Formats: sequence, C-alpha cells, structure tokens
Amino acid sequence: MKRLMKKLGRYTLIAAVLAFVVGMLMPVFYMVMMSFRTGDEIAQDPLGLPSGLFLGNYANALATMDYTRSVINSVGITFSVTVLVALIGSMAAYPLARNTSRFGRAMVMLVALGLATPAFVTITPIYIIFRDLGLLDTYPGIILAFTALNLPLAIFFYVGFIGSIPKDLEEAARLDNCRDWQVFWYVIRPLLGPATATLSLFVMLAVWNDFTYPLLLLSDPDKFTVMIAVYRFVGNHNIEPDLLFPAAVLGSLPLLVIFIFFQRRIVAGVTAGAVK
Amino acid sequence: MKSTRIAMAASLFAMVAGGAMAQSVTLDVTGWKGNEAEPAGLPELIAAFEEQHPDINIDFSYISRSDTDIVIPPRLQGGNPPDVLMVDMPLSRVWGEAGLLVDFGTDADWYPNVNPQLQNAITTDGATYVMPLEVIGMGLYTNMGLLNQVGIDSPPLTIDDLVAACGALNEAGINPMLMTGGFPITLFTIANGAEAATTPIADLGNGEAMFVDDEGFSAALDTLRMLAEADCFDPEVMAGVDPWSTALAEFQAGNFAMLPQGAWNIGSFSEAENLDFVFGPIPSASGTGVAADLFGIGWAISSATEHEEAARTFIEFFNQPENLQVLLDAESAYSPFIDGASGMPELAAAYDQARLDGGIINYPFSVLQWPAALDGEFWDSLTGFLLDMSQDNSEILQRWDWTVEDNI
Repeated sequence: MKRLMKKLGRYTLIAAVLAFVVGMLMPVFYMVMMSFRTGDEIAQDPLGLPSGLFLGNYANALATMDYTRSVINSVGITFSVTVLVALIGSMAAYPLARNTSRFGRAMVMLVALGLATPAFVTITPIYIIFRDLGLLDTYPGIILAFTALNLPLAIFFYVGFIGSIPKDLEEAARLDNCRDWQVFWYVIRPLLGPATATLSLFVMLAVWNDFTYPLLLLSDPDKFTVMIAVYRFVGNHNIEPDLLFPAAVLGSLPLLVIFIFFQRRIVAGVTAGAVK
Repeated sequence: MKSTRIAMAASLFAMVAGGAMAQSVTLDVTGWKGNEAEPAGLPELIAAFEEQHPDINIDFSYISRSDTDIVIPPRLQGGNPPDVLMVDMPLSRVWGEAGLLVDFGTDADWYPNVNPQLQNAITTDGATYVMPLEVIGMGLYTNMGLLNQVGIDSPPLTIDDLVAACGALNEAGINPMLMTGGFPITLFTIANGAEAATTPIADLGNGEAMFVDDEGFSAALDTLRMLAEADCFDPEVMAGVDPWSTALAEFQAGNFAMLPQGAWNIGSFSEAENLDFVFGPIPSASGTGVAADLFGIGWAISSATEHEEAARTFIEFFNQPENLQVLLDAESAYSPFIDGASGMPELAAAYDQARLDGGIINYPFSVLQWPAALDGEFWDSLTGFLLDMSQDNSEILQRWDWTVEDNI
C-alpha cells in the first residue's frame, strides 16, 4: 500500500511537471504553428493547426526584414555586451566581495540601486551623454549602453558568488607570490564559470530582446537589431499574423541555437552550489 | 588653351555638383504608421514625394505610439529630434507648449480649411502645432452573414435593435457580441453616455460637471448591464479577452457577430475571405446610433530642425487632396479638411449615414476635452465592471470624477 502511494505520488508529480512544461511551451508551439499558416487560414480559425507547412510566410518575412544583416548585428552586439559585462562585472565584484567594511557594503548597495532604477529615468541622460560623446548611431555606443545597463546586475550577482568562494584559495595563491590581479585571474576567475554562464543567460536575453535602446541610439537601418526588424510587423491596433509569427520565430531562432549549444553550462551554473 | 578649357569645365561641374549636393536634404521622419502592419499608404506617399522633390530624401522610422512616448522625448530634449514627427493631440499639446514643435500659427495655407471643430481643438492661444491628417470613425462592426442567417438584414442602430439581434443570434447558437474589457466597452459606454449626457461632455473633463451627477453616463452603465442580462455577451469572459488581438481574430474568424472597434480595422477585415461585414455607428437610445469620430494623426515639425523649409514642403504634400486620399483610403478615414474627401468604403455607409443624421460625437480624449489619465481609468473600471456588474453606478462614476480631479 505504502509502495503504491509512493508510486502514485511520483506519477502525480511527473504529471504536474509535464502539465507545467506543456503550459510553458504552448505559446512557443502556437507561434511556430501560426508561422506555417496562411493569413486566410488564421483568420478562419485562429487557434487551428496548419493544414500544411506553408513556407511563403517565411519567404515574405525574410524579404522584408533584412534578416541576415539584423541577425549579425544582434549577435555582434549581444556577444560583445555579454563578454564585457562578465569581464568588467567580475573584476568590479571581486574587491567589493572581499571588502566587508562599511564602505564596501555601501558600494554594493550603491551598485544595487542601479537595479532598482526604472529604465525611463535613465533613458534621457543616456541619450544626452552619448550624443555629447559622439556615440549615437555607432556600434560602440549601443554596446557601451547595454554594458552599463547590465553591469549592476552582474556586479550584484558576482559579489554574492565570490563571497561563497573560500578565502583559503586566495591565501594559498598569495603564498606562491601571486599579486591581487593574478589571484583574480588565475584563481577566482576560473571558478566563476558556472556563475558567468547563468549571468550570460540573463544578459543575452535582455540585450537580444530589447528594442528600446537600439531604437533610441541607432538610426541607420543597417545597424538595426533583429528585434527592431520583428517590431515592424506589430501595429498599434492590429497585427499581421502571417508576417509577425514567422518573423518572431526567425528573431528568436539564433538565441535558441546559442542556448542549445551552451545548455549544459547554463544548467550547471543555475544549479551550482545547490548540491554540496 | 585646351587644359584651361578642361579646368574651366571641371570647375563648372564641381560648382554645379556642389550646389546640387548642398541643396540635397535628408529629412528624418518618425511615425507609428507606415510599417508592415499599418502602412497607411505612407511607403507609396513617401516614394511619390521623393520623386516630386528629388532634392529632399525621406528617412522614415517606424516607432509605435507607445514607444514614441519613450524614445522621442530624449531626442527632443537632447536637441537631436526628428525633423518631422507624427503626433496626436496629446503629444502635440505637450510638446508644443514646451516649445519643442514649430508653431504653424493660424496663417498656414491649410489652416482655414480644417474642420472648425477640429480647428478649435488644435489651436491654443493662436498657436497650432499639428497639421491633422485624418479623422477616423469608431463604431460597430457587424457580421452581416451571421445576421442574415437569423433573418436580420441591417446592422443594429438602437439598443432595442441590438437586444433583438442578440436574442435571435443566441437562439441560433451564434455568439452575439465581443464587448471586451478595455477599448470596446469604453467606446460603447462613452458613445452612449455622451449621447445621453445631461451636461456638456467637455465640462465632465474639466471639473465643471461631475459624472456622478450625469444621468446619461449612469444610463450607459445600466445599458451594459441590460445587454449582459440579454446574453449579448458573457461579461466575465469578455473581461479576459484581449481587444487588440483575440477579439479581432475572433470577429475575423466569424465566431462573433458584432464588435465595437475603430475603422482602422476595415482594411484587415476586408482581407478575410468569407467575412461579410459592415461598419456602422454604436447602437444607442436614439434612432441614428452614435458615430464616434477620433482625431487620429497629424504631422508636426520639430522646432530644432535645421530643415524647416523642406519639412514644411513635406507636410504640404499631404495637404494636396490626391495625396491625402491615398492615406485616407488606406486608413478608411475622413479628411480633417472642409469638403475633404472620405476614405470610408461602401461597407461603412451606415456610419456615414449616422454622421449625416447628426449622430456624431468627437471622441473626448482625441480632442483633449478629457484628460488622458481618464482613458486608462475607463478601461480599468469598465473591465472591473464586467467582472462584477452588481457594482453601484455611482462607485464607478465617482472614480472617473476623482481621476479628472487629480488631472486638471
């Protein structure tokens, strides 16, 4: 009886997890299904399944959104920002994590304020500063803006993670005559791998999906990101489903490929420290 | 001698080329129409403009209406604004009064031709910051194919017609109406409330009169309650239906017979095969129905532009009837100018008739009679009303009064 109850509990749990996963995947499934349906099919039965794989929608979307160029821009910007955020964030976080004085804690709180500041408060100052620096409509400008916007998250994230690394490792390195920089680079940095993978997930998602800052700071269509290309298919009062859905699939596809590629590292990062 | 001649020719060419290059201007234009989803004829109009004016290039950027609030102010404040901006009434008022837009005054060529009511709305102390492009109707879409199935051959104009249609449709197992939360129920309520209002509706937005004292708006809420009781719609379901995607798709699919919405959807609905629909006024207590006109969009020029003359040329281009007609046809809109043309198709004849019969109101938010914050309050409180129709009318009306009080 006890065994039966245990089995039942397990199956219930599996069923609940499956239902949750199905619920989470439903919008993605809907998006992909819609992308293969003609406009008339969607109009006649909005929630129906495609009668066949109509690829004309993709051809139309590709022809309209300058896909290759915009994907290259998005990949370049996202990759640059992720590397910079991980590098600068970890370097900034290391001394803050090890400085437990009141000043150190105050600095961490100051950085955390950056997380709490609403985007619309910073948007005008960022625009004016970048205009004065001559960084409007440049790749370095948009990369710098995204890096600055994501650094508070990175620093806050790394401070917590570095705080959990035993100081003994650093002391051992110092006994071997390592300087602070060498301690960070050869001892701490390699241990940040899982945390960096997790952080990269957040940063990549935020940068890839954002279109406000590219819209604000970029004006040359050749520099537009893929999300701006997708954005063209969303109206104020309606949408063109036969164009929007394939564009949305195409827009999220590169990121999906990247995540599949890094899946193991990301999962390792998320679960790091969960099991001793 | 030969080399002198060549040098002279080269100098002349350089002067001509240099002159031509100096005259060439690129205008940075932004707008929330002109993309794939809502082209509004802008791509072809811009192409036609550039062909007519080879010295002016248009660099058009699509920025949605909601993102315009986020993206354009930093550019205006940063002294690097677009040369020409698409604006609506609230934007033109706020940016104009802040000195960020060119004042066209009242002596612009097009100004005397603007419809007097609209002229009044766009002018503040002699200053005019927007050249209007269109007036769009908001009314009731009716699937005549479904109504014909139950023996009804014209769209409902009165509440009694509507209730009768709901009864017949329900009997035939057809969903009568998409009275969703947010915009559709707000449109229906304002149309009925404004028609029956016992005070001038402008006074309700400036604090000189109170919604809670106005019998017209209270009656409009009673009408909604009565329609729900007549099974025109399921209020709890409607509270959760998205008015901008699901509702449109459901109507287009022929799953519901009626939908209050704006004429901007006529184009996309017309593309649906097997959808036999008309666009008419919002049914009301009077016999005409209510044609709710909305001042949609207009062009404004940034006061910081270095190309004001070219920007004015661009705007004037839209004032020419044959050019404006392209936009009006694409938008299914009316011209904002006296004796201007209409882009409304034949299927909107009932809406046209209601206007001719005097059943017309200017949507109070679009002519700044009511504060913009009240719009959001209408959406929220009426969606809440769908979830709990036993609420006392005065509770809802009072919330509107408080919002007005907080925003005047």
